[in-house]
Amino acid sequence: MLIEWSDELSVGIQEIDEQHKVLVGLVNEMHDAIHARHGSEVSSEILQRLAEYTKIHFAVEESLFRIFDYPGYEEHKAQHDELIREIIELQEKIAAGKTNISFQLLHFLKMWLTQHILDSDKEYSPYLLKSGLKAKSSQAGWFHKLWH
Amino acid sequence: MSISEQDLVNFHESLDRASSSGKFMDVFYDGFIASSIDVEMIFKDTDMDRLKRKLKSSLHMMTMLVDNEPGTEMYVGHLARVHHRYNIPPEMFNVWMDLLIEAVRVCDQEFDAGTENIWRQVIGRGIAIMTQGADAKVIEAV
Repeated sequence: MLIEWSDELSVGIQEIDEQHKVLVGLVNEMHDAIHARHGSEVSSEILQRLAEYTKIHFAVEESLFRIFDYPGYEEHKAQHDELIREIIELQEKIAAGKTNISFQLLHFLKMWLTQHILDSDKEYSPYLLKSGLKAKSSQAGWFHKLWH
Repeated sequence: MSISEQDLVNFHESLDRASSSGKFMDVFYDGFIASSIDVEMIFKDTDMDRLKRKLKSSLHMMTMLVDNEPGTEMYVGHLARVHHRYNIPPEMFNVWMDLLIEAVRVCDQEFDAGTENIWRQVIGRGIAIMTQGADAKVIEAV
């Protein structure tokens, strides 16, 4: 396991935490696949799922930012946009046989995810909660139903 | 140029001494924000606690970079491109480094030319990537 979920990574909003746990799970899945030498096709397929899930997760966060008029929207969105652009570029290079998924990449993804949660996501949660977003929901969210 | 283990120990000791002064981050941000109108405009609505957290995170990342922690170079390259999206001019990173080292000079009582050289080596490696902006190496296998 490359990333272990801990309370330190919690932003205090249940639905967002659940989404982050899925992202952590996908990075760990890629780590396990590389360790088990399952081949580039398996790793690429996991990367594809990670990219798709990340785009949906970012869309959810950005919707919340707009709904609650989060002042850090533009800055946060720029971080999202750059990561998506780089992942798409990476996938194109992999598809063209110009590069492979490496441990460096894996550690980059770990670093990006944990630093983004700790440095940026934890900044929006107090604002959203103060603005009226519920920390917990008694029902499973649409996102959870859609993905699982 | 590689950085020796002893230099890294000296860097961390200097950082500890500067941080222990209790004024390191304030001295740095006072100087940095006053360095130009552009910097002042960037930080005008940012709270100081947030800036201090960012500085800690940046210093941590710089030390991981010289420790050759896997993925760090890609990550700093990514940060360079994100800052390019924010329209941060590359020269601002060199001002950031100079004023950071100036804050160390003020707050580390054992600061000397050797200490400055170590700080420039450690921080300089990250700054070299940050100043590449949009041209910083993209994430890929290495």
